[in-house]
Amino acid sequence: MSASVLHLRQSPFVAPLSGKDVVLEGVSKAFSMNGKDMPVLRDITLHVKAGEFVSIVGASGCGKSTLLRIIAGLEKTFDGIVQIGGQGVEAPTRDCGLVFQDHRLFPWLTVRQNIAMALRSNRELSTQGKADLVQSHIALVKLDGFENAYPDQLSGGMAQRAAIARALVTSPSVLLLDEPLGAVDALTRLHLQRELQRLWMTRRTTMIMVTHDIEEALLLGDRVVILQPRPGRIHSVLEIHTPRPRTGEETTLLAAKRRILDALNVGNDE
Amino acid sequence: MVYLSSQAKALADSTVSRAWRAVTGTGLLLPLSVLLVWQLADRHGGEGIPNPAALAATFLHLVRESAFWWALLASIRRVMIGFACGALVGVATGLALGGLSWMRWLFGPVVSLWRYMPIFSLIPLLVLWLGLGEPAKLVLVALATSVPVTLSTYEGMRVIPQKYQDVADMFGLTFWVRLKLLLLPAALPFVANGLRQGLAFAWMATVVSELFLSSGAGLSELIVAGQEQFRPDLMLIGIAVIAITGIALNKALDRLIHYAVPGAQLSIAGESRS
Ligand SMILES: Nc1ncnc2c1ncn2[C@@H]1O[C@H](COP(=O)(O)OP(=O)(O)OP(=O)(O)O)[C@@H](O)[C@H]1O
Ligand SMILES: [Mg+2]
Repeated sequence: MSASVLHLRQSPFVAPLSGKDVVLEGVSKAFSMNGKDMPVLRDITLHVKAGEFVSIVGASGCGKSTLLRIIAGLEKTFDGIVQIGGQGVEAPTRDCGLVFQDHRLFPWLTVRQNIAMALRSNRELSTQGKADLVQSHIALVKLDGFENAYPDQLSGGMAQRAAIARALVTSPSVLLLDEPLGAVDALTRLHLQRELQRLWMTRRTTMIMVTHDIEEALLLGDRVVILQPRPGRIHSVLEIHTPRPRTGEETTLLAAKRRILDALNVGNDE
Repeated sequence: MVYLSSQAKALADSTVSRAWRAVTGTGLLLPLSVLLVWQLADRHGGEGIPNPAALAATFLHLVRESAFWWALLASIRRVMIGFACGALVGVATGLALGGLSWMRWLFGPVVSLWRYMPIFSLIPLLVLWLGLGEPAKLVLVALATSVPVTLSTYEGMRVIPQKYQDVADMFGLTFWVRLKLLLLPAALPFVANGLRQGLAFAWMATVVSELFLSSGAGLSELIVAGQEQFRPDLMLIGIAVIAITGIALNKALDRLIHYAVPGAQLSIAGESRS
């Protein structure tokens, strides 16, 4: 478990990075459906500090994925301001990585090729450097031995792990995670949660993670943002001061879980 | 002895049943019975309609002549060169249309009308510009190939799922890398289909070009010669050889596609679209 992280630390290519801050100021988004404008997000204001871990929870369909896509630069039309490291976001940049809700590996590429794809537009690294990075990230998500497998030869959880490796391999300053562990079995999930925590602690990457799992949100987040639906807006933000590394068993976390559950219920009753 | 004879009987049985299965399994049953009925109905060979036995005799005579083989070779060479050029142009055009927005802007509105381009009506123009020789024929074959290949490749590029485009956007893939890692593989089943259609068109164009621009060797010589000498047997053999060569070319292309593209990839790329 710790071996893979050690491996990463020793790797000459991954300097301890510092994340960048993410600023959302009055972000609203509507999709037009059958000629009608459907509001999906309304007036989201959120300042994520550099190196902070923010969890986002909320009911299905309340616009969590859309919000991450806006931060990533994939959605071109929205109202409000989105900045990463002080720069307005207009298109995807190398600063920002995104783990999609579905793994989105290319079916015609092997695991190794899929992960290597992320480094294709990197001009600083040597070929060997890239190969080493890819291999260490395959090890990180425990896919050694499956380098040459195609996505349809993997289980759902394995594919999702490959997708996580693909997003991590570029060492983005900001990592957006859209229910990254949704398809992963309970045991691997525990492992990856802790691995994510350690990764975050070593790299100080800014992370914004959407999850349905409240305990996961609490385990990893400095703050938990609770969204309420139709249109998606911020219900409340919970600060989690529990020191790290966390195990998930802390009483402070259990108390916070109670409050989130209450908050989500309020959101649903409306 | 009893044992031996029963074994021989089993052997004969299995040979017969295997032959039967070969006939029924490959779709030869209908043509073979037609030939049989035809032969029985006309044992003496009527005026203008040769019977299968006469045709077989003509064919056996033909295959002993080197001119026949040269004609076959010339036609195959023609279709292969024309097809290769047309396929290259078609794939490139289709990729450009699918990948470059200004190409789409320029040609997009008229692309779907290419299907109705009357290729063979270009023959007089081609003759005017290029003469009756090989170049005009090759251009016609290449043109005929390029239309379905272009359209199919373009179609393949247009239906590439947005979710994969998003991934390519996230990693800032340049045009060429995107082409290699996303556009081409995703469009591959469509390209393969376009190539199959293109080859059928190419073979048709080869025969038509030989008939209209009758200079140089080619399988259509058989048909032209039959017409001039009032020998329907030659014409029928010509038609049959052209048809069978076309089928063989198609099978060869299928083999090529099968080896060049792992079957899994073809099916996966097709599936991922659903
Ligand atoms: N491209 C689109 N066109 C039109 N409507 C869209 C589009 N993308 C998302 N939506 C709508 O926006 C709303 C929010 O979608 P989104 O995927 O952001 O939800 P989510 O919070 O991520 O849900 P889940 O938890 O189920 O993943 C949904 O009602 C959806 O129908
Ligand atoms: Mg979602």
